[in-house]
Amino acid sequence: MNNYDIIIIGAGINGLTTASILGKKGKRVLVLESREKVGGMASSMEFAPGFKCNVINDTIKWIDPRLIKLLDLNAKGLELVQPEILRIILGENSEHIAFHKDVAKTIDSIAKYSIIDSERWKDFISYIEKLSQFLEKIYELTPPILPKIGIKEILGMRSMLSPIRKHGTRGIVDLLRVAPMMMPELVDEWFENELLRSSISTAGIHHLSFGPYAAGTGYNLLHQHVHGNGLFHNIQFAKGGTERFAIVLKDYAESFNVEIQTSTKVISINTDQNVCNGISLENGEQIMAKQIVSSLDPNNTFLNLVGPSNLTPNFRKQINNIRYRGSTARIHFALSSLPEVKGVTKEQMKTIFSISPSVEYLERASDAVKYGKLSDKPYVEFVIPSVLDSNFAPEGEHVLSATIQYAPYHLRNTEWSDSVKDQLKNNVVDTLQKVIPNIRSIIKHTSIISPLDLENEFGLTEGNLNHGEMTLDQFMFMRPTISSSQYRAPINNLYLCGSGTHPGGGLHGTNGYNAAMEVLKD
Amino acid sequence: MSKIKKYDAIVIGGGHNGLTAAAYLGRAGKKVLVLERRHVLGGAAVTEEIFPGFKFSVCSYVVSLMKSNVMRELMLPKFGLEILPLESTMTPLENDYLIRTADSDQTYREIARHSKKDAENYMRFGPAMGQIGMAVRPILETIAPNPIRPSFSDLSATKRLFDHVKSLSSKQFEYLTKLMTMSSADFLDEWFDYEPLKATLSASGIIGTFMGPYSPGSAYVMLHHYMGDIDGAFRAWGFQRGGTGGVSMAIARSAEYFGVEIMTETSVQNVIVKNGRATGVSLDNGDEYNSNIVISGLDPKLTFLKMIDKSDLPSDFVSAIKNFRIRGSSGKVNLALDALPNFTCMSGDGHHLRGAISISPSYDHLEKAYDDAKYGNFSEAPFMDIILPSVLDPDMAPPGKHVMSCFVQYAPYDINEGWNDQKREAFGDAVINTISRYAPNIKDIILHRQVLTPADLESTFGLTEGNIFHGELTLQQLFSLRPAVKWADYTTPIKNYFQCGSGTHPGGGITGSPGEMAAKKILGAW
Repeated sequence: MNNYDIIIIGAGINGLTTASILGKKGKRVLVLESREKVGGMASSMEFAPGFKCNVINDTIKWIDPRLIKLLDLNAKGLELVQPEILRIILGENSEHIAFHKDVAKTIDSIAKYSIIDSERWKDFISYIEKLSQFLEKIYELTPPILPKIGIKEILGMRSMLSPIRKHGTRGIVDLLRVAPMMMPELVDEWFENELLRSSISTAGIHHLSFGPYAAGTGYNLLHQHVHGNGLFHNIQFAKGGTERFAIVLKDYAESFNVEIQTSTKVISINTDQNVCNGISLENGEQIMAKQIVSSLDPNNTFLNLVGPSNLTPNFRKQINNIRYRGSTARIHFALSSLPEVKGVTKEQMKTIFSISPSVEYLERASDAVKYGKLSDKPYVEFVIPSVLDSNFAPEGEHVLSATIQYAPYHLRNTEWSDSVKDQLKNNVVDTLQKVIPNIRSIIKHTSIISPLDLENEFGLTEGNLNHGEMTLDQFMFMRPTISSSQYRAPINNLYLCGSGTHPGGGLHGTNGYNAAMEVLKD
Repeated sequence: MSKIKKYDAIVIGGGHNGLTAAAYLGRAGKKVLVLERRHVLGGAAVTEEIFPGFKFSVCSYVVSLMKSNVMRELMLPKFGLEILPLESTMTPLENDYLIRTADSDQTYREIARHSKKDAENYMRFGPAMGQIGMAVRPILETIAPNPIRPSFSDLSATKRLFDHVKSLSSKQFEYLTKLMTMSSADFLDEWFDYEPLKATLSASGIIGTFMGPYSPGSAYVMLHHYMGDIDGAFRAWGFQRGGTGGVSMAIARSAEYFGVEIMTETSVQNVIVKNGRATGVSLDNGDEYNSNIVISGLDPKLTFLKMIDKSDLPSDFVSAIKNFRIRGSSGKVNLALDALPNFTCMSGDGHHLRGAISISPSYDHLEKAYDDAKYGNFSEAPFMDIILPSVLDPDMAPPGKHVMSCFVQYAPYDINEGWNDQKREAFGDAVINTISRYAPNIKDIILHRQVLTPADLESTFGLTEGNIFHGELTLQQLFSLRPAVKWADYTTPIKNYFQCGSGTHPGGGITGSPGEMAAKKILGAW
């Protein structure tokens, strides 16, 4: 019974989102996932007996509100918890700034270091909120085909009028100013305290191969604060782990008869005369469908599945030129007891920590990427998920999940190996030790996930968590390429819905939502 | 004491843009006075005999971006403009070299020696960049519209730009977007493999900028350097006979021909503002000159924060100007030589000495030099763009002797512990040591050396922080945002006070463009 309307490749958040929407519209949808379970980057695992972790993402920054509404996600069992403390920035000598849900408390925390900065905080976050509101609208649009701007393209962007009415063209000008900025430029305009400045800079370098001195980190910062509702470093935890989001989407899709097959690896997308008509599986089976949607990154979709010979030379070149350069690694530690973070109480641990004493510290960490090395003193973010959910570790024991920048996929004169991973671990433990002095003595097990592991396990080209770097030349009508930014491949009946499309990475489902709308148009 | 003599316009600063604006106003029949603080005209485009018999283009040293219509309209060739083309660009390497010359067959062969694929691509690269340059040109030649409160002419300019963008091919648009945002290294990686070629090309993306080749945004600076147009030929760098000051002198003579009065050694203290209107200038010596309008050729920080009392400006404008990024990153070393330098990789005299010599063997060399500066030190092994003007124009040095001009990056203005004499000399030594790696005889042939740090460029030429572009060429400081939104059309919040320096659209380089466009704006409104 090989007559599906639509086949979706990949059951990550975006694939499942597209499947849910299309299933709800009565389409016969088949989702094929190569791993044994759904979720993609929203996955959990037991990395040591009794110790669980969120493999890649500990938190969900924002979910597309259209998706929440359409699918009524909250009623379907997705429980998002916004912690009291959104983030704690750790400096040297147990200095720290806490970003609270309650802005007044954030201001108090900043005031310990700088009164002037604390007085400017409110203005700053409303400035960031204003600019993010423009992005929110842009994100819901299918990018226009440029440079051919016609009436149709302009009308298609009329939803931009509401933020313009609210903030004037000045708002757009501010967006155009801040998006290309580098972090020191932004923070120079606002703040003096170095810990606060570096804390803001961390949002600009999130999952990037660049450091805070790179132009365009302004845009990345804004991307992190879309739908942030005026909260800086806004985060939410999914109760039961990040994979709950994927499970809820899966259940929802299945309730509309969407078929989801896991452990089913697609090895090619079949085309005939530039028309896509089905896929082939590893076991040799071919499945036909009217439309194929790929949630994989552009490299996997086009070079591995469609095949270079089925692409025009120009498009092939564009796809080859997409930059991935994953530079983020993850390490999960199983701990025999609760780590003691200097100057922080147990109650305050239900949050995400950043070790970022200064902007220069972050920049020096990033220098390593340029020379194909690991950062000696990496930028480390960590979460202790077991304080949020006791199911993550045996009684009395704990898990610490660290996100590390910079651990470049491309190493010079060497390749990723166990000894490189050990080196990475040592650098990270040294860094953690400054804020958790007893860390070494409580580590029971370690699970290191390098960018190469991310590529092998999750099919992320070069280990890039965003399916392509979040830079201005890979933004909107340039994402993934200028000729395929409308969620449509330059091959008929083939669509894209992954993070490699506008508006980029994160567990928000916007790509999947926008793509579904385009699929339905045809 | 005050003078009653009244002018239509007073131009502060006798740099090439100020002189251009003055010449255009003079040409339109206005009575114009130019006031220059130094004893020589030209600002950063100046020739001085620093050591007896040795003449130097002290600061700016090559010309390519000068607009052809400015040359024609101001009759500059008649007044002494004469550009001698640079014959080559040579990148010396430890055991080899890379040379590109005006002869494209030879260039092809030279690049093919290192990479055949790169040689093929190089032949397509120039025209592609030229096309993008063409695509950008109408944008550069448009007075940047005010997006906050657009006037009718702002709207029609915007409409024209829209139509222009629509006329671009998808490919042009794609490249343009990439050039506006990417790092020059990433952009060039899409084209070439051979490291010294990529590094040397990427160097135009860092000149005058506080960025490395891996910094996103540097591709735009590279494009900016590709917009050069000498007599309509894209991307041809040249050397002005008699030094860069000759360009300024030609403009000055043209201005005088059109009746402009020019005074040197006349330092303006501030602009006189009455009821939000500029009425003239007062000098350091207390003299005052009255005029209908005042035009500043200085950089935005000096134009507004020094020349105008803060209380006369809107506070959001003052903070916008304070936030305008002017970060000096380069220094200049001028050498008087007893003989020609002898490069190990290509000994003796030849083409390679009649062009640019670029110390840019690899991205890493450039990027590491940037890293030094990023953390507050001058580069121990800097990037350099070197020319030997005396080889092209023997009048620059006594017979048999030579002058060598080294543009050096990076030397941060904000250096750790501040600049002092000792540091300046150490910086000079780093430059000489780096050259000696490629031309070992350099140490033996130096007769005199002049080392200019960014702090020296600031104090000598009035370039804030020693930035040669009057403000970095970053995306958020271009077009309608240069130097600040609402005031990118050469007007200022002070009535009758205008700006025409490199800190305005379309930015730095010896182009004459800001001066020309400011004058046209002023004359349009007169």
